Amino acid sequence: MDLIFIADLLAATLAATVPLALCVTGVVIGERSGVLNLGQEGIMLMGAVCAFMVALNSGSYLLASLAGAAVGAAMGAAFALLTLVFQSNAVATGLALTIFGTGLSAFLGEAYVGESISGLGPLLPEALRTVPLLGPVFFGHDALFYAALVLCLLVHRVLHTQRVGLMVSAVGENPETAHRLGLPVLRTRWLTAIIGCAFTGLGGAYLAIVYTPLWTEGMTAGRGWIALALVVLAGWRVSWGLLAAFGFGFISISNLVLQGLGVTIPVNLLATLPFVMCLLALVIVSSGRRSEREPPRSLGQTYIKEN
Amino acid sequence: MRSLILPGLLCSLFAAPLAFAEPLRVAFMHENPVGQGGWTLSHELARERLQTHFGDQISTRMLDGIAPGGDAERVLTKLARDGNAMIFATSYGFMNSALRVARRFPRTTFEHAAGYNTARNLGTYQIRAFQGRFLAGYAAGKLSRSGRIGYVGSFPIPEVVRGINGFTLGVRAANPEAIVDVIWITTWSDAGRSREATQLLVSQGADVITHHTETAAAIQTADQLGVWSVGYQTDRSAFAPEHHLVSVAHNWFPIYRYKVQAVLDENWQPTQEWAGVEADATQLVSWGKRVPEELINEVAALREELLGGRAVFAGPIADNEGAERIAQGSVASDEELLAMEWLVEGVNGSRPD
Repeated sequence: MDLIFIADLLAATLAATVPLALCVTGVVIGERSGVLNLGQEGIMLMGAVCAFMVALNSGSYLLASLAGAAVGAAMGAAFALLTLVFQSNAVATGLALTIFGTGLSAFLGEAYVGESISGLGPLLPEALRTVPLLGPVFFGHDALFYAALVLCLLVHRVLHTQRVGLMVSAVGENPETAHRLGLPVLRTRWLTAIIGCAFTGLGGAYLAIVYTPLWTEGMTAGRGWIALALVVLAGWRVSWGLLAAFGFGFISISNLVLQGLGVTIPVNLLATLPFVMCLLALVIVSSGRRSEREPPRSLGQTYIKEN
Repeated sequence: MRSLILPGLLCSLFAAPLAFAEPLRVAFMHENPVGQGGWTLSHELARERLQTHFGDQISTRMLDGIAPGGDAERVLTKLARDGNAMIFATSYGFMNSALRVARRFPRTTFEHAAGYNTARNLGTYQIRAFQGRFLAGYAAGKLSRSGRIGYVGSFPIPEVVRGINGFTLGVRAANPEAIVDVIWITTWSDAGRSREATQLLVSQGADVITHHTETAAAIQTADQLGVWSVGYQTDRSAFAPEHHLVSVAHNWFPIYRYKVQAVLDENWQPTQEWAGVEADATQLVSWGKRVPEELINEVAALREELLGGRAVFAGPIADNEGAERIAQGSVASDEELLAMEWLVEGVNGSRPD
């Protein structure tokens, strides 16, 4: 295994991480304010199919990305309407959203199976991309890759270092107290539900217009669920979430690499590796009694506004 | 022209007063959604041709996304109870459900793709796709400069293993030194995994890529990376505008036409139908625009040899651990092909148990 191969491997892992990273960030935004939305898989699929349709028809990747995010936001708003206004159960509503998104995306995408778009090319100039080793790993990616990175880091900054972030946490930890302190609990949750889902929709868009620029039914293949698990693993922090997404991507690609190197571990066993690692990490994380790793205390609970 | 005898025969067959005006009802049941574009789509294309071919004589319907197991059994039962005279179950995983339901509905004709169990009213059918694989492998072996060809495999079941072996034998017929690298992604439909496997294969030196997955992501990635690709199951050329070599497409239509005609003629038998190049059931379609004419002619000549009786799995053939599997002068039987669980010499990769 030479250095060039390792550089290729890292570049591939970074690109594979983007959809997951966007979804993880979206989930953190929602869950830190107490919004538990299990509809990620359905939202991601809807983002993917709509972005693909817009990309194919308009040829604009910017419009397509915005469409993916907008559809995600719309589904987030639907979730907020159901759980915040009509006070439906969050778990059931989220599951319904997954089923709804899976079905509707299959229906909408029916005519788009077999269509192909060219995908987004590298953003940076040739000179940077050909820098030995560093070039392919860091500078060979597309515009949406860097945009996603910037967005996730921005969310990290806002949630963990700004006053707004503290507000969101207060709402997620104890909505009653937050309300008495004069914080707009419902408005905060509306916003986090919508913005969080926009990130998830954008993650789906990245899959369908950049990573594998095609549409196939159910193409997210469980990434929405994995993101939900990674957020727990990351202790509801964006930075750890991004790291967890990268780690997950790296382990699942390593499984393919090991096969290529002729390591004879049964394939089915290798395929379970990322999930086993996830479980292990979860056990380690939850055994260390660190309060900041605990879920937001009102996560998934229905909030009824006092007068 | 409509035969006057036929409705009469149908009448006596089903003993139903309305059978006179009613077309033969044929149902198809698929495991994966048509929307994933591979195996299921190839069946769906054949169903459409079948409906056009028989016109008013039959009416077809299709159900996709049916999980094997309890769901499959429930749907099969429902289809039989609804009065479908013929039911095609197109996934290997439907085998046991089809056997059980066929026993309960002795007057309904069942057909199961890719399996090996038959019953009084249950037949099976399959395509000798390894012949198409062999031809495409030959072309790949000729075009590869590095002598390394990447194969994105899904699950190590006999159907996939047979494809890899047929392909590799073709590659080695063109270039005895060439190697086929296999990576198993243990999914039919995760496009992202296909992409990752393709990237790795190319960075290991592969300059032709092929796949056995539902999605075309491997083909698309290969095109982006600037290497040749061999599509599988349906015409995948749309996904590789620059570097498409050829696609090995399944053509189920001749098998379906034959089977349905047999039911219409009332001489249907529970046979194990296995059709190959002779029925044009496995086809090479959409040769890439940059593939040399000479090579296309060479492959056509090779196809003629297969038509003339040349076997793909003709000994001596050794597996990739050096053991002889098919002796000099003998040819693999259909039973051996159906249960194939070893990889031929030239495949870099192992079939995990």
